[in-house]
Amino acid sequence: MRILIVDDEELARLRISTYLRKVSLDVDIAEAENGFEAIDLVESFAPELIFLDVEMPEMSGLQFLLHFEKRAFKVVFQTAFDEFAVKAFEENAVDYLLKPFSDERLAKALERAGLDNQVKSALIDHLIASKVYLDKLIIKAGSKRKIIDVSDILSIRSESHVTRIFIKDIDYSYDYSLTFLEERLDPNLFVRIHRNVIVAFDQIKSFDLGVKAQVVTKSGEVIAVSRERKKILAAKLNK
Amino acid sequence: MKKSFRGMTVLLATSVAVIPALILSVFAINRLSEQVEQRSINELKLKVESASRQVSFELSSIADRLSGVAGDSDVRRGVKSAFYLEKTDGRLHELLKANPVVLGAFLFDVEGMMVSGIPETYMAEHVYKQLKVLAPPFSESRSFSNAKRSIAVASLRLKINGEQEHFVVVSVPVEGMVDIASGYLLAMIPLERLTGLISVSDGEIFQIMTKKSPDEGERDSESGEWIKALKPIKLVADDNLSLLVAEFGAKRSQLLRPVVEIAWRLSIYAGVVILVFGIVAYFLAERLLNPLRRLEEQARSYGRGEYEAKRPSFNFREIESFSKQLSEMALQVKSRQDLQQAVFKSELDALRNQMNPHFLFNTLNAISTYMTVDASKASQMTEQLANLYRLTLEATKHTTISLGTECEIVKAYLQLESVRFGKRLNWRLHPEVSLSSYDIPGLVLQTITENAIKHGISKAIAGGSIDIMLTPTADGCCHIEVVNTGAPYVKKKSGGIGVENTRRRLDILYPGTHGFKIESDQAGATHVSFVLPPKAQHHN
Repeated sequence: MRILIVDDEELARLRISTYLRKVSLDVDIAEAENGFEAIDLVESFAPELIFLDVEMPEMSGLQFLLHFEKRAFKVVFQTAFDEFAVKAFEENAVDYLLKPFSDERLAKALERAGLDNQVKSALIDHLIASKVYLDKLIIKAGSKRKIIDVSDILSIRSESHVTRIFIKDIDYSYDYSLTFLEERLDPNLFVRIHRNVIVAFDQIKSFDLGVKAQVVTKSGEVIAVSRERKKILAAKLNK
Repeated sequence: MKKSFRGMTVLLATSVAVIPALILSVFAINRLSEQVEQRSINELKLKVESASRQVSFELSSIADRLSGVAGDSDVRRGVKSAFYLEKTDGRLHELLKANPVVLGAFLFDVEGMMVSGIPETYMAEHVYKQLKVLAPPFSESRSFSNAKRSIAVASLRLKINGEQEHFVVVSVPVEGMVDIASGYLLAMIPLERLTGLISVSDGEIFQIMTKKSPDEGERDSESGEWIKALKPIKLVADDNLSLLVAEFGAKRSQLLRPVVEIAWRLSIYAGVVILVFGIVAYFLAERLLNPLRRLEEQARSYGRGEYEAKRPSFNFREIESFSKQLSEMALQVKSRQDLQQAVFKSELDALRNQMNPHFLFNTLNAISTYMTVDASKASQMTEQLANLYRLTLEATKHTTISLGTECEIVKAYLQLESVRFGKRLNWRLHPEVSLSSYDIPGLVLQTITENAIKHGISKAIAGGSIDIMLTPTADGCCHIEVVNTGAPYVKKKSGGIGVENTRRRLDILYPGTHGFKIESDQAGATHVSFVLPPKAQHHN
């Protein structure tokens, strides 16, 4: 069984790996110090089970989850003290470990993870509803990965079924759809004005919500606004 | 029972008005009634005197007329001879007709036999008998000339028709020969008729009595209602005869009626004055009470804890200044209360910060891990944790602790955090001052260090370093600076509880001198710094 342990504290990782090695010979263990490493390992190591810490620098365990649309792994959450996460777990009947925990409690969590524990979509919905948003995107650039801050994004477009993320001077292709991103990005920063286009609010220079609705970006580009999005855009701009 | 200010003022004002008015009016009325009484007694005396003069004048004029009749030749002859009786009767009739006051006239001879009597003989006999008993005017030795000079007046009581009546009898001698009286002519006058001659006004009495009485006015001792004056009626008469006394009386209540009226009027005026004074006093008290009431309301609002309630303004200077004092006092109470609250809250927050759950649970988790891989390291960490909490508890007992103790706490804390963060955390503590020379509010430096971990180191994947520098300043103070190179400082709107709290505690202890500040340098490191004065400059 391939197990990934994600925790920024070395001792916390050691806690779990020691136990796993003690109880089973048939485990393949990988460790990640932060969310970015973990995202890489999900691809290269393809874990079946992830022990995921909630409090981590720059990308929390919850934000980590937002990067995936389909999850082939099961998750056991662990936290020392995070009222928000605990509430989310409780409300969505997700099992989690409270640090420090006993070997027995750890065994029980493993047992339950074997039973079900695909990360429930309900939890993801809960996080989105609770305004937990993606603040960094992982972009494949050739063989390397690049982390970009969402505040640098100018617009996101879908061009012949390929999602492209435009930042200054350059654009990247992205694995997931516009709908995936629309759900996970802060609606105060981004707005989808067309089936094919999401723009950053601060890039809108002027707009015309007449019959032929359109916005003009700071770079001088004119983008049409689809009829069904017009109302949403108007409401947001009025705020 | 508490006195009310208003009640007292009303009472005071009315008694000021009433008491002298009452005393004065009682005196005045007494005086007045005495004078009125005295005057009416004098008046009565005059009246009774004039009445007595009238009576004696009447009686002497009747005596004169009787003398005239007695001198008539027919009468003189009639005493001796029955032939002249008819004429004598005629004379007596004339006399009665001319003098309606006289009831009856009788002629007696010296022997005491009645010669003629008008109107009825039997009555005359009866009279005569009575006269005989009283007899003095009929002394035989009396010569006419002696008798002539006197008008004999006697009073007698006769029972006529079963009723007793009082009479005055006037007698004159009838001249006979050789200066000897040959008879006497008597006239009987009922007292009532005499009394009827004197006119009296309403409420007055007048009567003639046959008794001796003092010549004085007096009040009727029994009822007190009548005031009377008595006066003997002076007659040219024999001393042996009873004296007639005229009595005049007036009803006291009637005499004093004007006095009573004045008294009534006085008391009505007094009542009006009292009422006016009372009302004026009521409103005066109201005017005085109103500011007091507002003052009370002001004090009450301070009592409710509304120390910054608006101060009402007053017309009275004294109350205004009192109110000012009160509001100053309230502000002082408030500032002291605020200070105490700030001290209390900051200490509480320091304690709660120290109980930072992330730190505690993660450290416990680390200990729990070491249990299985390195038991001695686990027990070492447990000891460090216990040591940190012991120091912390000790620190929260005092307002300030020595800088040395604070550094120990910081060290213990950082050592534990190093275990958690491993290579992500580098820290250094550079004390370049004598740690025993300075005091510091407990856990201030620890809180700053903890914030550096919480917001700097733990937020950065690469971690960072924390440098704590304690350097002396030129003026003998200690400059403390904490630099962390973790995630850059993000200024929040509210400034964060820990920062605000630390600033407040420093403000309370070292107002204006601590220079607490948070800065970011070009490299993105965060610098938190402040200044501590040396021990000698403050006494805590």
